[in-house]
Amino acid sequence: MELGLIAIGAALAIGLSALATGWSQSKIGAAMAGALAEKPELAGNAIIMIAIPETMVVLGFVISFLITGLKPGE
Amino acid sequence: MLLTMSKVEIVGVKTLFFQVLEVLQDLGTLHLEDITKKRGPRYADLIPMEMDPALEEERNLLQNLAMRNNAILSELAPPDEKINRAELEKKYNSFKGKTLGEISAMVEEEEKATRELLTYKNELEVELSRLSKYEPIIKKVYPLASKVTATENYTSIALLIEERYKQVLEYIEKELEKITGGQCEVFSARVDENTHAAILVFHRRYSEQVHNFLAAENVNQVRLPSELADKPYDEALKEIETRYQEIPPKLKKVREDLEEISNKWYTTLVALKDYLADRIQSLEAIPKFGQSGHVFVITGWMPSDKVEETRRILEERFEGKVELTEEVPSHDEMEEAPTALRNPGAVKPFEFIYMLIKPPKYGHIDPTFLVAIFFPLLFGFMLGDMGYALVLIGVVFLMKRMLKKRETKSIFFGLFANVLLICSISSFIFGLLYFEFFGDLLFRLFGWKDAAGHLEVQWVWGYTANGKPFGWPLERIAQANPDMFKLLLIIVIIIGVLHMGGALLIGLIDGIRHKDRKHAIEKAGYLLFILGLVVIFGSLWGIKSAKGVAVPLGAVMSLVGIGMAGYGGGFGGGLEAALTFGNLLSYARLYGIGLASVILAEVSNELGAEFGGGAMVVLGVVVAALLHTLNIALGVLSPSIQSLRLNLVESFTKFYKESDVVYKPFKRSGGE
Repeated sequence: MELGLIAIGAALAIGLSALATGWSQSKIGAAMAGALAEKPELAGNAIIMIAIPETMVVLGFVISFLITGLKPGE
Repeated sequence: MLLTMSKVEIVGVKTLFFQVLEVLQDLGTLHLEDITKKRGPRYADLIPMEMDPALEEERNLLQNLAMRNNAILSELAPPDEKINRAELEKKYNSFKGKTLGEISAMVEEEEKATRELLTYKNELEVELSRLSKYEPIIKKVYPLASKVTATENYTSIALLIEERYKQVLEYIEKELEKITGGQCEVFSARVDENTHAAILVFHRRYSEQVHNFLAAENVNQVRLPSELADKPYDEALKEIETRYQEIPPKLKKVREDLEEISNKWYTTLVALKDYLADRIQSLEAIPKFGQSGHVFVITGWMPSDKVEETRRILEERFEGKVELTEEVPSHDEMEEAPTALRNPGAVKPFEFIYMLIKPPKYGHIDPTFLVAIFFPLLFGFMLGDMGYALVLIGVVFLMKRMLKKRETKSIFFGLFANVLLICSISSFIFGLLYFEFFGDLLFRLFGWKDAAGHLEVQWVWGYTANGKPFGWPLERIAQANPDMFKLLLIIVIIIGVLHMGGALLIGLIDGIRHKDRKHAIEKAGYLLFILGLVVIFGSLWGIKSAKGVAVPLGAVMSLVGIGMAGYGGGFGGGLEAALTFGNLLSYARLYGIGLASVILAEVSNELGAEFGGGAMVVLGVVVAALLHTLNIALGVLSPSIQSLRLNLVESFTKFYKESDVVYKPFKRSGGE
């Protein structure tokens, strides 16, 4: 039972943060694509902007990794 | 670092203006300023120089010549051998003694020599491309057309029909017989597995009715070039086939002739292109200068170490009739000072960052050195793998070879190759620390893993709180050892503290240098806040005995820091200081990205090993190699972007001021 909860916890940590990142990147990506069509010189900024929400999934991954290391009863 | 610039003013007798301009263009150090945009008493008596009609005409002629010369140049392929600089210089100088009439005659001669060949080449290429569209049709219809013998009174139409609609042919044949009263014949054959070809032969007088019928039934006819439309099908196709065969050798000969011309003329054309561009640039610069009575005035900026040399050259060349003086720039003028970077070889490649953002403002600190330290450090921390590093060094070697062979001229490509080389070296060093070679290949080879698959430390540096050893190699997948995980997290936070601390220190120095008290206090506040956090967490995770004193002390330092930041930067400053904690946590990505990379590398090896022994080993190696390739590609992309982000978002936002003016000296063109 506890092992199952640990697994669900880990899955939620990575899954929800990945969804959040994906959603944010889709918004930023679309906006930046529009901006780039007008001003191609913004390419550098576009990369940075798109990379910003990655923080969520990276931290989610780290937390998920930590959770999977737990043993039932700890 | 940023070059120290000096504001200069050059005053001379008007009659020497063009000679002075030529000397300045040859020296290539002066960043010209537009005198028409200058305000203030110093410029009140100056009238902007104007181009008289003769100069306007000269400029138009030069532009026309440049356009024609560039058109020829763009049509010629560069010779295989690199252009000789000395020869280019010689040719360039030879134009200086020539009149515009002579140059114009030369361009005409070039045009004459190339125009005919280029037109012929274009015609052949167009025809070849046109005929190539008929090639598949010829292949299908020709065998059938050769069986048809048409007489003068008869004409023919070819059709290509998909195999599944071949019944249509019977209907067409019946209708054709009705239209022509039996004066027709239909030849058809299957030409490939999907297509049926048919040739309809009928009396010429029914041509219109037949075409109308086919159009009404929406049947696609095979159309031949208009000049061959009246010929019988077999003849027309034979002619197309013959022409199709004849063109490539002719085209080859024309290309060879053009190559010969290119070998003979290319350097001259490039030299002329530069010469004309420089003359046009000189003329177009005239309205930027000022005049007063019999003198002209040129203002601009140049590197301070070039001022004396330029002054001496002008003095010697014009015997005191032209004078260069160094001005003391006003505060407003300092805002317009151009930025020029001069960094040592190892730091220079990291100037690539200014392709993404504007370069630093003049008078502030150039942070390229900070990027040069932290970009490879962060990259290596994330992609620490000796095997991957060696692959990347190989990629850099290939990129350098491409650059040497001039397969690409991109400046970014060259800078990227150098940055990647430095990052690969960093990746190798970290790989050595983690002892990773394509993931855990070496651990498997040396048997340094215990039964649970965890790394056995070979060189113990110490023990974590739970009594587990840590040391070399440093295990990145420290899942079973939370203390080790904490240690790695502390390392990345320390890197973050150093990185952000460095940035804040630059901001503080900038504030002190510019006597901007509030700015300096704001940056000092951020620094104090971070130091407070270091004291708190240092006592909680490290020196626990000092916890009683360190925690309150750290808290006070942090609060005072927020207060100072609030005083210096207003409400936003205070808030920013508190958010700095979030910026520090953001460095945890270093661990996360690295972890993802090493796990994927281990999965690659595990998957490869699953294929077992014997002949399957080869398949296992292929699968592992493919996954490793994917991991390397991700491993370059992700750490590069994340490292860039940490530099631009976490570090640069703390101090960076962008420049709007980049140093662009008035100089000669550099050839191709």
